[in-house]
Amino acid sequence: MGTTVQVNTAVYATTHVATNLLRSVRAIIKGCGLDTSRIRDQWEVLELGVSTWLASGHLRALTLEVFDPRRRAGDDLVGRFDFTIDYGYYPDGDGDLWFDPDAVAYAIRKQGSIPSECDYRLITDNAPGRPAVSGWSSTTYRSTAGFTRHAIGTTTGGGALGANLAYYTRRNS
Amino acid sequence: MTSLTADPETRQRLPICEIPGIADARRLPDGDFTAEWDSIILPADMKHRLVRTAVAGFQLREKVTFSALPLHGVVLLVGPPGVGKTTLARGLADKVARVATGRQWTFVEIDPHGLTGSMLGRSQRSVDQLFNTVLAEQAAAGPLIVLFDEVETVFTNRGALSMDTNPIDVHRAVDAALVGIDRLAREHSNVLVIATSNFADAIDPALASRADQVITVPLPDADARRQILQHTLLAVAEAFPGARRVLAADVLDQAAYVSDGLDGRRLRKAVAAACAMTPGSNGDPDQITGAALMAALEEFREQR
Amino acid sequence: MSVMVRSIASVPVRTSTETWRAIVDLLARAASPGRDRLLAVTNVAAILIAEEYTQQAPIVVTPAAGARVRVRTVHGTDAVDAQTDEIPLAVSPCAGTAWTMSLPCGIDDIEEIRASLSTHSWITVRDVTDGITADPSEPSTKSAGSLVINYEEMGR
Repeated sequence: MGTTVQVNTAVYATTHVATNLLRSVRAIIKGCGLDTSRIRDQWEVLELGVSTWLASGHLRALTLEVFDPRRRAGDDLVGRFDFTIDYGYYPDGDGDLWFDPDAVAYAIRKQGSIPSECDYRLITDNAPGRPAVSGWSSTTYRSTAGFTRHAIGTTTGGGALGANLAYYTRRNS
Repeated sequence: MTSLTADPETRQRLPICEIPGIADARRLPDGDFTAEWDSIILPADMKHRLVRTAVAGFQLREKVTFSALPLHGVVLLVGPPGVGKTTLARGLADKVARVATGRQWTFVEIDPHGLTGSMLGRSQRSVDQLFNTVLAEQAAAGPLIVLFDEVETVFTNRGALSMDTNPIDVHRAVDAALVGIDRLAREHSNVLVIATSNFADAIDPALASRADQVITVPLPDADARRQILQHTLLAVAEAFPGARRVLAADVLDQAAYVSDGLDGRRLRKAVAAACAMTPGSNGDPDQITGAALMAALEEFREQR
Repeated sequence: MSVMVRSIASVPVRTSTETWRAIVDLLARAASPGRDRLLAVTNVAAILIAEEYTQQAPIVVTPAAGARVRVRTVHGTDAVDAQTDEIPLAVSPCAGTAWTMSLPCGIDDIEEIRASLSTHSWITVRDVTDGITADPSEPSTKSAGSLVINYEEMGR
């Protein structure tokens, strides 16, 4: 009986974290004044990928890259938000499911203003061997040279999982 | 809950089959049930009176208020095991659907053991859900016949229980079921509930008083026994023509005579037993004899 | 019966997308034009579910005929128990295309969501704090019968 409860809690934790990660990302997009159409149109695919790879343990990070299409490639990164997954955040695996929107709001404030012409994309970093999920393709991150990374802390978690949020700012801005 | 095989070609299974407490759900008329109506042998007019009761009931309930004429649309069939109560109920459901035409009938069979959960408190919730959600919504969607087999499983005679040995949950479940039946009857005139019970004394009197009609399905008399044996032997003879020798009039007369006290199910099983009775037959149904049938019937009588 | 009510287990038992699929299965189980219409708004509906607007206020379906349907989502620890009450409806109110649906949405998202559904005229978006119009009080279905007695069959 104890084992069954544990398994159920783990499954619930990944579902909880997956959906709330996407809520967090969407909140950031809205909060920065960006167009939410893209994340809305991709919601189903995003949720399937994130929940699948959290459940399989392959997801290392979910990243929101914000870039300015008016700038030249290689120099167009405007901001970035990383949600890094810690699979052992609760060593006993019995963390209650929770979600803190304030941490996200803080990151948005600290990020500063973003031009409304900016676009964005969502990237996942996975360990090798992840199960295939349709709708996702390989890509590479934009370079963060010239950016400083700021860790905020966990924004959502449960079971054994915790998701840590960090944001990037350009050094000379 | 028994698992059912459904032929997707001919029968559209309703999604409510997956709900605990529902044993079967199908549209009527249904060929299987039609055959069952024909196979039930009962004293004269008993079957037909049931149909008339249902038909009169629908018409009265549609036009006359419940407070003036409290008809619950419940028919209770009681009788010893094997007399064909469940077969009769299914056959009646089908017959009603064929007589009262113009709309699509739905048939739902309740699995009372699926309602009385082992978890305390779950029984009442299951019963509430069954009546107030499942059955009420089905009844709103179209005319409905509900078969409630072994009704004493839920409608336990509370007077015969002691509060010490039975949880409050049982009492709440019975109350919930009675309220459920009342509400169903008041709000939907096109619902017929056919309940069966092996033990008349085990039924809560509150249910019995709600029955529009209580029928005691009897053990078959000699004439009925003869018809039942003939019906079974005819069916066997279609596949095993040798069985025709047992259909001789004097053989049937004798068989009906010696089988006093046997119910319909035992009579039919005796035919199968007769196919295995004689060592030399080697279990070949084609070699059944009248003597083997007599011996089987005698044996079954002694076992009662 | 003028309204049918259901609760569907959502996060963390189901993802927001899976929750919408369960609601679609409830409303239009078999392949049909109506089911296609529901599936076409999966992304938007899933967002409303993720934001738990559908827990605060129900999704309301008004079919062409028959009872209205109110569906709420259940989130958190209550979601686990809610699964036992997910009973199929007796009908598929959204199988055809004559139904309309009202989705609840918080004030922060209502403009965006309304705009995204503008080409789906059968779906409206209402403020989650709005009350819903009272369900029409229908006379009881005593008149549901237009049963025609076949006396010839009865005599057989």
